[in-house]
Amino acid sequence: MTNIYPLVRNEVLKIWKKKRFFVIVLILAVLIPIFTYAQLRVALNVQKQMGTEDWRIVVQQQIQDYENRVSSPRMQEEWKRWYIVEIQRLQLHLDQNIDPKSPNGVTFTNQFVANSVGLFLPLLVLVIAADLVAGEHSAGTIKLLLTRPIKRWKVLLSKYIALTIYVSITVLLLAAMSYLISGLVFGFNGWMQPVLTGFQVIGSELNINNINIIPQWQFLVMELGLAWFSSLVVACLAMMVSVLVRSIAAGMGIMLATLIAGTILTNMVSSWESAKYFFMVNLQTVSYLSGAVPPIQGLTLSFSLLNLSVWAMISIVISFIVFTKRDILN
Amino acid sequence: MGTKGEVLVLSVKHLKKKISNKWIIKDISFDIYEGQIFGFLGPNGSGKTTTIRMLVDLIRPTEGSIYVCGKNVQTEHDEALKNVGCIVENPELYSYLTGWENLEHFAAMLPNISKQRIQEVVEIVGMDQRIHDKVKTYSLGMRQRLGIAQALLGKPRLLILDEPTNGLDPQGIKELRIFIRNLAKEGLSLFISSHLLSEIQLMCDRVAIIRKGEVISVGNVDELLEQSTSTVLWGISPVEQGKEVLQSFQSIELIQLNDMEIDCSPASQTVATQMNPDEVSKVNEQMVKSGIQVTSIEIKKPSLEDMFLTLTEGEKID
Amino acid sequence: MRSSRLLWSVILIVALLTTSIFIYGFVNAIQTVVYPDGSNLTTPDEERIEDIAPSDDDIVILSLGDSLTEGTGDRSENGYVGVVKNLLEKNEEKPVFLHTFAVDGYTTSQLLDFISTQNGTRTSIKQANLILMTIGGNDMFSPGEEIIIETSREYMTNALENLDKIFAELQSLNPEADIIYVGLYNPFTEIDKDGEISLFVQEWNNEVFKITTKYKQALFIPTFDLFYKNTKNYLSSDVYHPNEEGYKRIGERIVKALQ
Repeated sequence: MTNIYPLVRNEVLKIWKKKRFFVIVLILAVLIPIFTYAQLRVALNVQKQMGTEDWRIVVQQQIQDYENRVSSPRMQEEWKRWYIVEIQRLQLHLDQNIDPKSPNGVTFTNQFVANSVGLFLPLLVLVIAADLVAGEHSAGTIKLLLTRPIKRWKVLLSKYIALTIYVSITVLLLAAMSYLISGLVFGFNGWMQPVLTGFQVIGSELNINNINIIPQWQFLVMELGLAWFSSLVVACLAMMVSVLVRSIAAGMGIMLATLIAGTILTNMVSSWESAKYFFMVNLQTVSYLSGAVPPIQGLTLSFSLLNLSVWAMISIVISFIVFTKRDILN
Repeated sequence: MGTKGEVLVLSVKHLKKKISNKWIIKDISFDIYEGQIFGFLGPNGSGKTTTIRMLVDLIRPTEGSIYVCGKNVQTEHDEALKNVGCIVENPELYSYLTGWENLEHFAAMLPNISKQRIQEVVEIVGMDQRIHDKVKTYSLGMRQRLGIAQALLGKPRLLILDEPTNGLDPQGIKELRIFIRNLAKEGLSLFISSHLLSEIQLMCDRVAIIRKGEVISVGNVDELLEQSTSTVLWGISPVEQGKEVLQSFQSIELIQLNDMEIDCSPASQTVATQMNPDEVSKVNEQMVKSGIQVTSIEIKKPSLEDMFLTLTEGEKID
Repeated sequence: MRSSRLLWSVILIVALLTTSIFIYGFVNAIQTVVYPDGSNLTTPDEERIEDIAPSDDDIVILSLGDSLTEGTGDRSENGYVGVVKNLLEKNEEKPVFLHTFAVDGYTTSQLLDFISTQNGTRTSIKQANLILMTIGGNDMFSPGEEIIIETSREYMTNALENLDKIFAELQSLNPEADIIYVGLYNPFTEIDKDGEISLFVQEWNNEVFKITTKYKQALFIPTFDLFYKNTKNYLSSDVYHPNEEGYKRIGERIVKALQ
């Protein structure tokens, strides 16, 4: 009966007026300069050690360093695999004369997005998503919201749409702010700079049959697309938790614990293969673009995307069932 | 049965609710007609709030049905709730929005509410002064008024107010009473729950009293009062023989009054009874026959509060 | 009110735009990674390294070759290269930078390939003021295997040819830098009763010396004598690579030769 459009507008304005989004802006405004400074220090340090700004020498040094590590008998098998793939990746950059880390705002943004997708970006999304249903419960406004002549599924749907809107804006904001802030230090150019993509890691071999050189802006757009998808999945799961536990703090806690457990699992270089069915280890969708070794053998982009989609779908179904059926008792 | 119109606005039939294997609401039925102010009384834990939540589809009944203007609340949610404005428990609005933004928010959830209508309800509740302030700066009374404004937005035919006098000062309560009367005059039906029984007595046309999830009495306030037994105070001597005479009547119940103004101790020679005032002369005759001196007979007209206490036996929660 | 309406419009438009861009990027990413359509890589142009020359403001040391240059056996992990760097820093009062490109187990053919094809190496060679190198040992001996002089000698000819090419390549890339070849020593003096291995090692050193004379920047630094007496005092626990003390002796000799 009533259109969904005004409901979405309501939800979007509420999130804005509740200043949830400013929290995100604030977090980014504080942290990005710190990361930029750290990156600057790394660059300065390398220059101090190597006495050169030439990236080829730096990359070559890194390759030789990795080569020596791989030949060391003490090297663990999983790490060896990582180094071998990394050597091949760096070597390709060297052969193609493409700097993998040229210092400019766009490259910084690229790397920042890639590093954010596993934990930082999900946390930002959580700031909004955890509050969306639980906030109405704890403020008691859920009673007003659900006694309107509007079916409950429409109310929930409007919240999902509003959430999607803010996920998009959050990802955009992350990219824009990291470009602007790091650009002040590293310069604003680099959009057309070539980058390599299309790597496939098979065992410890890097399949280079399908590698393409694309301008960095295109790489950034692809990367943002994947990061956006990962964030959306986290948002859906946080929404389900928000519907189920009805408390902002508990919801935040559950999601935080899950996400951090995910990063720990990822770092453990799991030989436990069925760990790949957890959504947390699949969040790093961006790394498939630049050819990093997946944390668990057998992970591919298609597997991760499918896995994340299934998790998201299940969470959406549960949210809708619980939200529309549940008695509002408190 | 209705006192004003004969148009049925709310019809509750055999409402039952079971929560974790316990029947919270056992069997509740009542009707509200157009222009009627319906009071809903019950001690805490009697199932008042649960019933109200079922009326507005926050809780689904286990059995029974609720019709608003002929539409089933469960199966025709939108059509039924279009006619209902409500405040469930406290008027919890979005504290980080202004009063006006709150009204805009809820207006967006109703079909065809113009800006003029928002301005109208703001004027009805007399909030023009502070409507653009954040709700978190409002007093409880102002929130209550904003809550009513919000409930009136969609020109409902039934207004459900849960404990509307909560947190209001005596002046506010008086204003609210007049306000509610005026609304009813315009043909709006009101469903008001309260534990302030005197308020209900002053405001309502009809009343339902519930206890332990059951309606124990429902009817027009006047009818209810007439039907019920009265408290009769007997000044008799000797007291003990007199009590025996009183006890010989099946319909008479000796009671203890907790009223400080009436001394019911044996020394005062006053016995309080619960009985039908029509029987007083018959009893008096019997007393005289038994040689008991009757020094005074006082029939106290019951208030709704007395009736409520009698009916619910002063019981709180089990 | 009015500000709300403006806010909503801005948020909606921004969200619609970014969402469509993200969906485009998402689909594009899947196409690129999951359904790849061949490669657009081309063989890189012949030489894409910049034309740079060594600077006088600082000293860049480039170390090439095998495990001796990499510093295997030295617990402080600097090897003789580190010793040279530290001494030069002290003597020259200029910043000294180190590019360590040596890899365990490298042979002459691998090194030749390495300096001919690797962009980073070639850039570094052009920039270097001093090139330090050990190579050839892995061509003739395999650590842990029995030494058969006859077999080793068969490999020698080829190794020397490669070494000649290495010097030529280095000189063509950088005609200014000193190129130091650190000679081989005999780590097997204990088992080498009749001196057969020592003779063979010296034979190699002689041949290398002959090559170095053809290149004016090249300098042969002998180490045979440093490890001839009390050999095991200067060798690490693998009884093959030098220990810290052994590397120190090599490094000091190089710096003396450069003065």
